[in-house]
Amino acid sequence: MSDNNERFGAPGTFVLAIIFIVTFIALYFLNYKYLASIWELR
Amino acid sequence: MAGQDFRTCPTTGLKVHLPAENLIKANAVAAVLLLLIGGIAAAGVALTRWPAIHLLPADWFYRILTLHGLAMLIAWIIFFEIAALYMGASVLLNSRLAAPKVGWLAFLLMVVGVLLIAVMVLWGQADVMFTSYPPLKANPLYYLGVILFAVGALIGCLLFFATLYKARKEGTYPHGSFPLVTFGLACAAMIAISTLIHGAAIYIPAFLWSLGFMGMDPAAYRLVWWALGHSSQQINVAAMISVWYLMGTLTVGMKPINQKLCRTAFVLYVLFINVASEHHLLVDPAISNAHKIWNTGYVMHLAVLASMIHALAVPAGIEVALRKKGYTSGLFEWLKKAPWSNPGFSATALSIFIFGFMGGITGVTFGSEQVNITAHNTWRITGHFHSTVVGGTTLAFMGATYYILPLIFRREVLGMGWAKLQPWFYGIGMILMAGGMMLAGAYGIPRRHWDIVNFGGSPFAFTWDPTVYMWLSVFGIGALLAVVGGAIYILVTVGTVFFGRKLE
Repeated sequence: MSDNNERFGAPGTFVLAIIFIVTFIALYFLNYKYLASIWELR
Repeated sequence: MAGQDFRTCPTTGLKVHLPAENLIKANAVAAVLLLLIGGIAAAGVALTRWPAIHLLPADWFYRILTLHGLAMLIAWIIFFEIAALYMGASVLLNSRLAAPKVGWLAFLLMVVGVLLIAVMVLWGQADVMFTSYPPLKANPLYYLGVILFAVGALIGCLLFFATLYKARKEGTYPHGSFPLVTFGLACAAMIAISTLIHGAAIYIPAFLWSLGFMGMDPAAYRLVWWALGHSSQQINVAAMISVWYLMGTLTVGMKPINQKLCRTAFVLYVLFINVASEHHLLVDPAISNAHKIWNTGYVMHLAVLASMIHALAVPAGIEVALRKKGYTSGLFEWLKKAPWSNPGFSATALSIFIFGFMGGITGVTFGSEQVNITAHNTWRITGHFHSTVVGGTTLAFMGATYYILPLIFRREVLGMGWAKLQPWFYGIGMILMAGGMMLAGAYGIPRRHWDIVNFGGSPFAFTWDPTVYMWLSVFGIGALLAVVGGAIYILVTVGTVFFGRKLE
């Protein structure tokens, strides 16, 4: 049986990883948005 | 183990094989000299590409750009990596270097190779830039220089593996498997061997082509060359991450949070990174779309996954170590109380940030086939790889130097106050410089071009959005800060080697 009181050892890094992922998604999206704006489908 | 060939480091307790120590010193000194040459060239390139100054004439700009690329991307980093390989196999495993004389032969070949390259470039016989794409043709001695350097580096890698075998056979280290740092360096050396074989496969024909003995297919050249060109940067990534683990251990007493996961991530690099090199050829008409999409849309992401694992594992290991020291308040007390005044730690932390947030994100984004069409041949690409190779690898190696100086050179770091500032100058400079490049590149500023204002009087000159000039100034200011950071590093390193207080 797992110990429910055992805490994740690196919660700060987890938050940093989430910030990284959000930044990644935002920049990826912005790049595709930029591509769509200069190479429009008609 | 003959005791007279070894000494014991009083700080780390590591046994240092003296012939290995001499080779580590020689390769490290060569690396720093090449960094100095590459850094002077970098200042020339940056002050020319900054339109407010536009320092060099066109011919010298391309000459100095070629020298900068080879001195930094190849010579400084590979000399340092060879020093790291000897350290990882011999010092970290308490082992003799398998064949020091072979190590000196490798060193000699690399030195002769790099001298040939530098003389040819500065003599104006090799204005071909880093990629030397045909039909640009250099003097045959230039290609010979690259081949000699690569053969020397290959011998260094084989000597590393021979030393690992010797250490295992003689049982010089306590546990069954190699330490994670040595394991990571072994993966870097495996990628290096594959990379150098590809280098031979393209530079030997290029050498023969330059002598007029055979023809050269530019498309085939580009494909094989990038298996050298990008994979060599992947050696840097594997070596840099090994250094992150080493520095985490030395600065805060970090232990890897999951050895198996970290080792698996290193193996992912070995298996998948070479094929992913094809992202450099996404706009190349000579290669089919299916080929490009398989290599860069699928295979590349397995190597990216490895970087994501390390980018989580290293900070997590540091956080766990600092929390054990009592910095447990809230989410980020450990980060606030981390040893930021230790240049080894600050260089490592900045390296992780710049590599991950700037180099990593832009690398995956620009490596996507659709987005690549907007980024290819613009300054965004140059900004990306300065974030990975310079902000990431070079900064990590600089941080490691502050520990190599007392361990290998047995000197106390001279000018520690300057050393503490150095990673900040270099890191913040690189953030501004690479950021300026990427933002100016997003407006279409081309890479490598000598004159982006008047295009050398070309009838196809283009008027840029005025915002571009702001980003070009951000680039220029960042470049100057980075040059200052690099100069402090050279002065502290050379000053320590010659004038630092002797330890022991």
